[in-house]
Amino acid sequence: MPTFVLERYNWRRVGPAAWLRLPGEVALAAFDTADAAHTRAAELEAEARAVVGHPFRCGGSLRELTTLPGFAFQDWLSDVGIDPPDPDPDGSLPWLAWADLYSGEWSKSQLEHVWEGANRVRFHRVRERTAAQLHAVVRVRWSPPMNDSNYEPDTEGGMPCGLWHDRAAAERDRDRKQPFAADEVAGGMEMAGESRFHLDPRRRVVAAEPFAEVVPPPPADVRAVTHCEVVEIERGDDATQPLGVRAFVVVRVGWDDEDDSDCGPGHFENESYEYDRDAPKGGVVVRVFRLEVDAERLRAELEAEYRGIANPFRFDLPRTPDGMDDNDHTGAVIAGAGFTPPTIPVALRYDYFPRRRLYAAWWDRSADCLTAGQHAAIWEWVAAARFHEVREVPVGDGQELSPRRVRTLYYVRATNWIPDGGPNVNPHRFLGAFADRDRAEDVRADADRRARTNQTPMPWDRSGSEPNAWEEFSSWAKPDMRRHFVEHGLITEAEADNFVPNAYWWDDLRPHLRPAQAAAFWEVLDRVRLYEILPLETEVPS
Amino acid sequence: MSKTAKKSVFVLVRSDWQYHDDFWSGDYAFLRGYATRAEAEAAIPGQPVDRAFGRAEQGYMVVEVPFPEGGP
Repeated sequence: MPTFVLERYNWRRVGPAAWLRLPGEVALAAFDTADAAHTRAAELEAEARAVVGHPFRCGGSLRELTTLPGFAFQDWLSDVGIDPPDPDPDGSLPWLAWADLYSGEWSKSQLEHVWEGANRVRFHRVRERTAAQLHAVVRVRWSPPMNDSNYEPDTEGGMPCGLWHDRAAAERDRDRKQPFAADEVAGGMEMAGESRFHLDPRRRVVAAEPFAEVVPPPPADVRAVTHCEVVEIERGDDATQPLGVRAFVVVRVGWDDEDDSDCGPGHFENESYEYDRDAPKGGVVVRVFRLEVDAERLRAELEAEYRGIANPFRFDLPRTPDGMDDNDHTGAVIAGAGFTPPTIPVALRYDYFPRRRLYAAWWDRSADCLTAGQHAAIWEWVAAARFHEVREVPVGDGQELSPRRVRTLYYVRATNWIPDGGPNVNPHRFLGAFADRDRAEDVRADADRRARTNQTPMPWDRSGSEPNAWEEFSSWAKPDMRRHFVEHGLITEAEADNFVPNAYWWDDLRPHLRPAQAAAFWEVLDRVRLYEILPLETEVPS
Repeated sequence: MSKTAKKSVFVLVRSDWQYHDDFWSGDYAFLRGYATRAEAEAAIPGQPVDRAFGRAEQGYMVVEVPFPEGGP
């Protein structure tokens, strides 16, 4: 049975009275009948129009507002007695300023006529859904902004990290991932010395309501916010072909206009690539496919569709292959397309954001005059702005698994007392997992005993950077320790004053020790644990 | 295939180590064990976002651990 989904085109408020349409749609509600969906869509459309006022606040160029050519749109306005604006000295038409000035004088029917002509400024649509639906678990990425303040989330969506056919299974997966993710962010904040900060959802909440004033919830503790959520996603292909253990998801990338360094209202930064193009990426899931080639096909279609209306310079400036801003070739590409590129004042030559604004303004003036070839050539150059990607995502219930049960296993693991040159050299050092704790303890004790024969108990001395407090090694008082060492011939009476063992002393002494002396030494170092037992919940076949 | 197939479990590990001033500090967080590597990988809640100065030093790993008593 089909469902009718009421969707809002992905409008973003970019100023007190300015909106831009980003790629994609946002599902708002589902209805059983088309009539109910269309009725509600009409209500919401009227409400949005009342907030926006007139359509010229919804884009910079006429291309973003209407499919009509400029002359036809002017004729359309003349039909109801509206005179179009006079050209500016540079020949462009100041649609926004003109509409802000005169729209108050338009009658209701004239305003409706203007809205009708601005046929690309539509806020809602109804789509019939017949395809099978899956449930994606996405990770909301919270990250620190550049200016040392509360952490902020992705503006929309998140990183897809699992797909499920069964909603309940997806929710269980989300509930398992949520504490892992919260711990991870808390750990990252601690590592960075940023534990004093909170997590501020304002950006995400505001972006979700472009036509309403919302009061976002206050910043919250890292464990009190959502890190993982379940969202719906439809199959984009024939659902009778079952998905395997992995599927291909078309994702539209997220865009942020609040980055404080190189974008601003109406100019966006790709949230996925803030610092590192290989970093984990956020985004909004669009459709899921069994085959990558089908996903790529939809990606290309969506990309072409949005490129047809968007201003490329709102999203990025071209970069040279080494990632630097390109300052010379963009002008050459524009000139190659037969246009005069914008003049970049010397003072702004290396100032990223003002340069973006100049190029974007040039596009707004010129886009309506571009041929399809010129349009494509400039988009080809501004290739950094990719709005959709295909990602491979695991399907949690893509194969039958035997039932699992959770039991505690005891893992024997070398502790960090054993120096190994850092975690990227020898990171884990598990000896094994055991169901029986006593067996694990035997293995641990044996490994510990063997390691003591040649292991320095004081690896930290070697770094020279860590405190080497005696209390970390031993519960013995220092005078007792010295007396014990003298009794066993490890040091002489004369050496005992203020003696504290260190790794170099131990390395020098070790080849000359009798077994009883080594044992006496280790007896004192009662806080050194070279191997430990780690009880860990483990999912095993039942 | 060998008659005595190797028995293992797979531990999901998060590294919180960071390299700073020429040495490592931090530790691992051992999260949960799984019967197969695929199940452990599927439990990763997305790799951490990059931080201000490059790739995250946090990251998830799956570690194979012998299970001599007879694993799954």
